[in-house]
This record gives sequence, structure tokens and C-alpha cells, in this order.
Amino acid sequence: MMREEDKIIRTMKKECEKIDNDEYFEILHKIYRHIVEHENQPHEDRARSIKAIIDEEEGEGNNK
Amino acid sequence: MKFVKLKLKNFKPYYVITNKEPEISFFESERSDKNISLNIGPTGHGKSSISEAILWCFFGDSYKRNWEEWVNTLSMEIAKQKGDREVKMSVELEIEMGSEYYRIVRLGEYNVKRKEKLKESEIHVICNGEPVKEDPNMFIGRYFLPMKLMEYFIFDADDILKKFEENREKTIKDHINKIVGLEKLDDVVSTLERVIELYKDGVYEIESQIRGDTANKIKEKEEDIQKKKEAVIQLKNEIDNFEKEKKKLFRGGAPSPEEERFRDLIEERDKLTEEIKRLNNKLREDKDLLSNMDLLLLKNVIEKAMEKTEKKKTSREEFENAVEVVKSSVEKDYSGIFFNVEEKSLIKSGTEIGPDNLEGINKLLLSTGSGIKADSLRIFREYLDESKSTQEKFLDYKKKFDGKDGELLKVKNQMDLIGETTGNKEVIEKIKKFEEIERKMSRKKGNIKEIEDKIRDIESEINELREQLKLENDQKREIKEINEKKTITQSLLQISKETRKEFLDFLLSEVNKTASEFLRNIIKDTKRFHSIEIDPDYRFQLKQENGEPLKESQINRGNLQISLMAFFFGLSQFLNKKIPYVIDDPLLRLDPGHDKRLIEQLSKTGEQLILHMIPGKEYTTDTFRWLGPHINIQNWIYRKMHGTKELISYVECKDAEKIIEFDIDKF
Repeated sequence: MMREEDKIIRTMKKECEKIDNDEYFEILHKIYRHIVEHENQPHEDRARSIKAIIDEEEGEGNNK
Repeated sequence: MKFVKLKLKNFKPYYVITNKEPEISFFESERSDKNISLNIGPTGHGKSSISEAILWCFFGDSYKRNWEEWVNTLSMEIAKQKGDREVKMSVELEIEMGSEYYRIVRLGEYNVKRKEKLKESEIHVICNGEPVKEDPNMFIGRYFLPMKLMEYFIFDADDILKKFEENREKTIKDHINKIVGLEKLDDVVSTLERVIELYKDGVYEIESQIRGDTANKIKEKEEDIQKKKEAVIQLKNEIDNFEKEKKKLFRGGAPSPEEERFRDLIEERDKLTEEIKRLNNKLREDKDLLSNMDLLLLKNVIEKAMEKTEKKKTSREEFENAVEVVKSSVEKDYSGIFFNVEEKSLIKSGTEIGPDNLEGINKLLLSTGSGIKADSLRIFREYLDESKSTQEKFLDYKKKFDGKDGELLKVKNQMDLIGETTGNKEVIEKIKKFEEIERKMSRKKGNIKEIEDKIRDIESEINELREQLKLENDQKREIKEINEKKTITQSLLQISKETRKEFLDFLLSEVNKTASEFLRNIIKDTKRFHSIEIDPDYRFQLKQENGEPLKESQINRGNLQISLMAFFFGLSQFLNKKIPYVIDDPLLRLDPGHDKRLIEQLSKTGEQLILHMIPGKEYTTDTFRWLGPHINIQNWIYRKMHGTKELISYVECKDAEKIIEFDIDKF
């Protein structure tokens, strides 16, 4: 399975490179990892967790 | 990797007889150049249980939560008879990986009396006789695939076809999503879509908190303040002008002390004049009252007497007494009666009563006479007291009047004196004007104060509004930040969708390519069965060489099964894991020639093939003719009654080079 995940992450990275945005890849990677690691999380809880990741990342981005 | 042996203890139909666990050998190292293992047996005799045993061995309760249902029924019955409390069910799979030899043991214990499993099944992994140090489940995860992906290596070919026929697109979609983790990307997409909604909700919530147009309110109030400030300036200008006027009136801008004194005297004069006038009026009034007091008293006496006779029975004597008093007062030159505790007196008619002769009135004494009763006279007393009080007040007024009159005279004298010192009497006019200006100025100053108070109030309101506006600015900033995050999320969503599309395209192109090649190598009619194409909408199509899709009616079930196996093969190749294939009924429905080529294609992977075949259908003399040279080992799986009790499965390892003889009619 790791191999498939790696493939997906690589594809993700390529897509981010297309728009020249590494930060997006970092966020998206985190989101993907979260979803993989919390397979059984309910949809609404998952959305809030992902929102928190974006908020946090964006907050850091603003602080940079 | 080779699956070498499977030992089954009380697993489904496999019962342990005379302490010998049924064993199914998959691999004989002496024939290691041959990689096909066959388990031949009629339907329902225990072949599929072999696949299930392998998966339960790997995944235990995750694969079969109610595994107690699989405990061999005969073993339970015998345990009951023997009084045993529990039955052990186990599967042991021996695996060869290079120079390592592994034994994977899955053990479940079942309580016969309670009819429940004692606990979750256990797994043990032994490598070259020693238990592996790592977590057995980690070991499984490292060398194999997650349970749901193992179905691309251990599967029932017939099931694939049946499931596909039930729901074509969904089956394909489920497989693809399952195999490549696309469902995770789908989760990313749907989650990000929900996150965008959450951001929208956030903005909506903040916007709904903002009430009215505070900025406009502040603007209006500031304009109001400006107008008021302008009014203050105008008033101050007017006051300045008044100051100038005052300076014009008086050189020093204000009356001199003499002039001030003069003005004070005027004020005093006016005040005194007013007071004297009031006192004079009062005196005149009281004087009239005093002069008519006798008549007034008589009037009151008559009224009281009448009132008394009207309201109450009055004796004739009383009435006549009163009449007598009146008569005597009027007829005998007396206008009233003066009465107090010590003395009683009549007031002589025509007596002039005033401040000068009040003493005289009090000295007018007269006996009440024998015919008049004191009680009847008492009625006069209160009126006489009032008369006395009035007289006293009059005297007070008179004294005050005289005093004020004297003061006024003095003031007038002083005014005359100052009027001369101030140059002329026009000063009075000037002062009047001055005073008028001052009054106006005072009013203007009052207005200024009032306006300035209002300005302060408005400024305070503005400050409050500004606080609110500041809050709104914070909210606006927050909205801006949320919108920025929403935009980022939308970008992330777009990237996820693109990633999904790219990855799906990549996957499908790989799978389609592998599956098409697999198909073409099996079905030689490549003009018609040229390629397999699964599009991004999960439509499974068989295409001809000219690119035209084949109609469903043009595809028989055997060819469809081959196509689906090709698809499975494509997926398993994409997973790129070196695991033996365990396939149930791989050749069922296949046309002659296709079966052989299917096995050839599967063999090309170099992986061990463990095939469960139905004798007479898949496993025939013809099959053995081409398959025989590739067989490493072959087992005869059959089921028969154990005594008279239960059907149990037996395994007989047969000579791999000889076809297994069986009586088709027997099964």
C-alpha cells in the first residue's frame, strides 16, 4: 500500500509543482496523511481536523 | 515466495483424525522448476476452505470476526462427548522465502459449553524454528498486502464474474479505488469540499454579526459635531461683538464702580418701588378691610346664626338673643363686639380703624349686658381674632412700608448724587444696554455650554461607534483571512482533483495496458478482443482492433471471465507484490485453448499458482495434458462421512505426474 500512497503523493507533488507552490504540497501531504491514518474518522470530524490543519499551516504561513 | 504446506486443525470441514492434522502440500522442492499446485475436488468438498484458511491465518478476526462458526462441528461433538471444555482450531501455513522458512500459525479456542470463542485468535510466526521478534501482524504487513488487497492474489474466478454481472461499474470502481488508494483521494476531495463549506459558514456567521452601517453613523455624527462647532464659533464671534459693544458703551469694557453702584441703586430703587407698591396695595386692602370690619362681623354673625338655625334646632331664646345683639349693634351705634377671655367689648359704630387707632379699638370696653348669653357671643370670637391678626399684619406692613419708603428715599438721593458724578444721566441707558448685552452674552454663553456638552456627548457616541467600527474592522480582517483560507482550500481541492485524475489516468493506463496484453495472449481473436479499456467513469469495455467497443451480446461469459481475470491480473501487477496466486475455479467456463493460455500467462509472473479445480469440469484429461508438465504438486480433496456422523474433508497428496483418477459419477 505504501507504494500506492507514494505514487499518489508524487503525483500530488507534480501537480503542486505545476502551479509552483510547494507550500500547497506540504499542506496537501499533511491532509492526505491524516486521511490515511484516520481511515474511520467520521466525515464531519475529518473536515474539522483538515480545516484545523489548513488554519494552522496558513497561520504559520502568515507568521513567516 | 512459496506456500509450502497448510495444516488445518478443526478448521471448517477439516477434522483432526487420530492426532493427525489434515495437511495440504503446495510445494515440493524437488520439483521446484514447476510452480503450479493443484487442489482437485468436487464443489463443496473443501477447496475454497483452503483459500479461507490462508486468509484467516494471515488476518484472523479481521478477516472473520465470527470465526467460531468455522470450528469443525464433528470436533465440537466429540469434545462434548469427552467432556472437553474447549476445542482448538488452528491453521498453520508454511512458507519458504529464499533461505528462510516460516511457519505462520493462527490459533483459535472455542468453548464448547458456552458456544463462544474464548478470546480473539492468536497468531505466531516462527522463522527457521524460532519465533520472529517483530509483531506477527507487522510481519504479515511487511510481506503481504492489506487484507482487502489480498483478494487480487487469493480469489475465486467465478465470484469475480458473478459480482461484475451484478453491478458492472460499481464493481470496477470499487476494485480500482481499493487497489490504489484512490478512495483516500476521494476522501481528500470530499473533505476539502466540506472544509470550503465550513469556511463559507464562518464568513456568514461573522457577516451576520455586523449590524448597520456604523461608518455612516460616525460620519453623520462627525458632520453634526462640525456644524455644532461652527455654531459655537459663531456664538463666540457674537460674544466678541458684544464685548466690543460693551467697550463702546464703557471705555473699560464695563461700568466703573460708580456706574456699577449707580446700576445697583437703580436695581434697588426698582426693587423697593416694587415692594412699596406691593405693601401699599396690601395696606390699602387691609385698611378697607379694617374700616368695614364692623359690617363684616355683623354679616358673619347673621350668616352663622342663620346657618345654625338651618342646620340645627335652635331655641327661640337663642335666636332672639342673637337678633338682639345685631339689633343692639346696629341700633345703638356699635358695629361689633370685641371678645376675649378677659374682656368683652363692642366696637363703636363709625370708629375709624387703622394703624393709629388700633390701640383705641382694644380699649373700647363694654359690658355684655344681662340679656345676652356669653355662649351666643362666642361666635364672634374667631372673627374678632382674625380681625386682630389682620390688624397686626397691617401694622407690620405699615412698618415695612415706612422703612422701605425711607430706603427708597435714600437710594434716590444717592442716585441723584452718582448721576452727577457719572457725567450725565444717560449712563442709565448705557447701563441698561450694557445689561441687555450682558444678558444676551450670558444666553449665548449658555448656548455655547449647551452645544459643547452636546458635542462631548456626540464625541462619546462616536468613540463607542469607533470601537464598534474597530470591531468590524477586526471582523473584516477575519473574513478576509477566512476567504484567503477558502481560496487556498479551493486550490487544494483543485490540486486533489487533478491529482486524482492524473493518478487515475496513470493507473488506468497501466492496468489497461497490462490487462490488454494479458487478454490478447489468451484470446487469439485479437481483432475482436484487442484491448481492455476502463475509462475514468469506470466503464469496463472490451475493444476491437479498430477501437470499436464490443457489444455485451458479442462477449460470452467465458471471455468475460478471462477479461475480468486480465483486469485482476493488471491490478495485482500494479500492486507489484511477489505473492503466490491462490485461485478458485480459474478455468471454469473457459473455451479450450483459453484455459491453457490463461495458466501460461499467470505462470509468466514467476509466482506460485495454487489452483483449486473441479474435476471433470476444469481438471480433465485434456487439461492434464498441457498442465501436467507444470504441476509441482497435486492434491485430491474430498469429503466423506466420518463413520455415520459428519462429513469431513480429506486430503490426499497425489503423484504430480499422473492424473488423479476419480469417479465422476461418485461426486
